[in-house]
Amino acid sequence: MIVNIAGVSAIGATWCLPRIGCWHMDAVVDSAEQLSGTVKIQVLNDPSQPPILEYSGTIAAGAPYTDTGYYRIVGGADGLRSSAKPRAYGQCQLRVPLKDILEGVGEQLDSSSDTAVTNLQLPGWTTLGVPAGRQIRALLQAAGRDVAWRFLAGGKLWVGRETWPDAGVSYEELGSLPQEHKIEIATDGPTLLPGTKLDDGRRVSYVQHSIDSGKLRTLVYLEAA
Amino acid sequence: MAVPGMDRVKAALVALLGAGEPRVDYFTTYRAKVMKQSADMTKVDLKPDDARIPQCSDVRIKWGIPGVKAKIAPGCYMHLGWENGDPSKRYAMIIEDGATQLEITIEAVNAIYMGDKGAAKELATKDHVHDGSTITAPSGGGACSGVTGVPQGVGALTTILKGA
Repeated sequence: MIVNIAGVSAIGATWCLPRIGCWHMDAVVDSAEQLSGTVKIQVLNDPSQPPILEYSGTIAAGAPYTDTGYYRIVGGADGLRSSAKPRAYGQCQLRVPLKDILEGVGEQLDSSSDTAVTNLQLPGWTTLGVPAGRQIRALLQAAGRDVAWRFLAGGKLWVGRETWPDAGVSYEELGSLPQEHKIEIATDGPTLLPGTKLDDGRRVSYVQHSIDSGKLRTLVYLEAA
Repeated sequence: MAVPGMDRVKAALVALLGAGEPRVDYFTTYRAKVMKQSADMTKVDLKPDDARIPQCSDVRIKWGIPGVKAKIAPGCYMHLGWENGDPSKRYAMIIEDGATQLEITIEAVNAIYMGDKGAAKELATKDHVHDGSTITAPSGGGACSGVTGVPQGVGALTTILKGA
């Protein structure tokens, strides 16, 4: 398996994808050139074939050190740490302050977001000048405690209620910690995503893919039953 | 992000908790200047002192005393809050000292008393009518002019508000 970041081969990576929030990847790349800004993460099983997975993210931190680059990459445009622009609203749909918060920090709302959430009518809203991620959390809680949000492969933020589709991933279970609702699996690629369910119905809450010299191991945190 | 007085590990934990800078959230109230009040005296436009809180218009006022409303001069300060910490339900309350109250309305169903109810005379009831002129009363007591039914002993007034 090959992982490329901005066209540069990754020696190793740990990729954490939560069901709610922003994913991040800690990567080691085989290059002395500084990476920055928006990057494309590609996973290939065969370099002559199209990637099996492509994700858009942003370099949040990192630099080369002795011919090797060490980076933290996050989903979207790394805008959730920035302060939202304070703004007060009268009666409005939830999408109005949500889009203002996102666009104010360089992020975008994915069009596949659940309109039952984004069309929710609010009697009013006050956006505070605090990190945009906190404001998004507060805003979506107004729609209900079962609302999720995360960055998709294209780099935009999806919001909605989980439908728990099949993960569509073949895997071998290598180990289990039932008391922690956690399993370790082996798969052909880092395609298991949170918000899906395994073939036995267990729901995936958080995924940590560890890639080292082309080998992949995945820790799966399951929703508590 | 560097935090004064903290090493990196603690700073990371504090950032995680969102406790690194003075918190601003929906569970307290914030001082704000009154920019404008609605004609019916029920709402105000507010400009908070803290720049992290936006200017808010048409914020309903919780006066705190049933039936009481006041017309206040812009420039005074009130407090902006959110009911039960709900960001969709803001309100204004507590007029700070120093506000100029241009008018006070007291809507009482039966009577308005000044002072201790047991010893006080009724200031106004639903049966009292004010003709709109200035009301004065001699300091030593005696009949008041300008309104019918006002008991003796009431001090000089410039305006009387009719009860409901």
